[in-house]
Amino acid sequence: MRRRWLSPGLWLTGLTGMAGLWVAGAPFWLGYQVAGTAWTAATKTDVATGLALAAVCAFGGFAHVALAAGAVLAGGRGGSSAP
Amino acid sequence: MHAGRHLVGLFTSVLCLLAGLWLLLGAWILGLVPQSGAWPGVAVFNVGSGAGITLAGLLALILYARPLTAELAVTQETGDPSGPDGALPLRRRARRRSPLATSQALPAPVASAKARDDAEDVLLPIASALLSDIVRQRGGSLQATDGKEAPR
Repeated sequence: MRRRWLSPGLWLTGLTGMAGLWVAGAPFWLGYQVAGTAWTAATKTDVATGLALAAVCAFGGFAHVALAAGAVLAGGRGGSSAP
Repeated sequence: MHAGRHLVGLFTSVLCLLAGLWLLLGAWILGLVPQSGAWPGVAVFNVGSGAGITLAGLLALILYARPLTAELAVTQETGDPSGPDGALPLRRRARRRSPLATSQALPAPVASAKARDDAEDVLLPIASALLSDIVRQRGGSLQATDGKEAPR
């Protein structure tokens, strides 16, 4: 039986989580938040949104893998043709 | 069934979609985009990353929603008594569908036989007590009518 834990949906979730981390750090890496000054509205938005996105994607990814592993351990049909 | 996994994925992708939309539209809401002239780097970054995350969320939403709807359709088909073979008994319906369903339906007679034994254990003393009551009443009425048959 074919098992597809790393399905396209899970890949996309992981990539979106990485993008969230990138968005959170981008104000500092791209230099539009000057060090030592108060955070601008754009920086606050990017950091908050990026971290929230990364957390949501991490939760979704772990839950997906945990449910798949639980189905396999319970003796169910863990293979999925689905994302 | 993988409905739990798909539901988690659906929930995650909807949140990603909303976050992407917020990043995309936040550039205008926060006033990062000027009315005229070239866009600053922060606005370009926010709109670009927001559009990318929105697209990724939308794609993940489609990827998770398609198998979930297919699974729900299968569940509805197998669980709906008004289906094409809805008039058949459950065990016969399962036998018609697949050999796997038949093998899963096999433990049912064992459970029902055990339940029947339990029911017999409970009902047997009650039935015997009722029978002895009837016999005793008949005997009493026969005695009262002095050998004549009791009226029914």
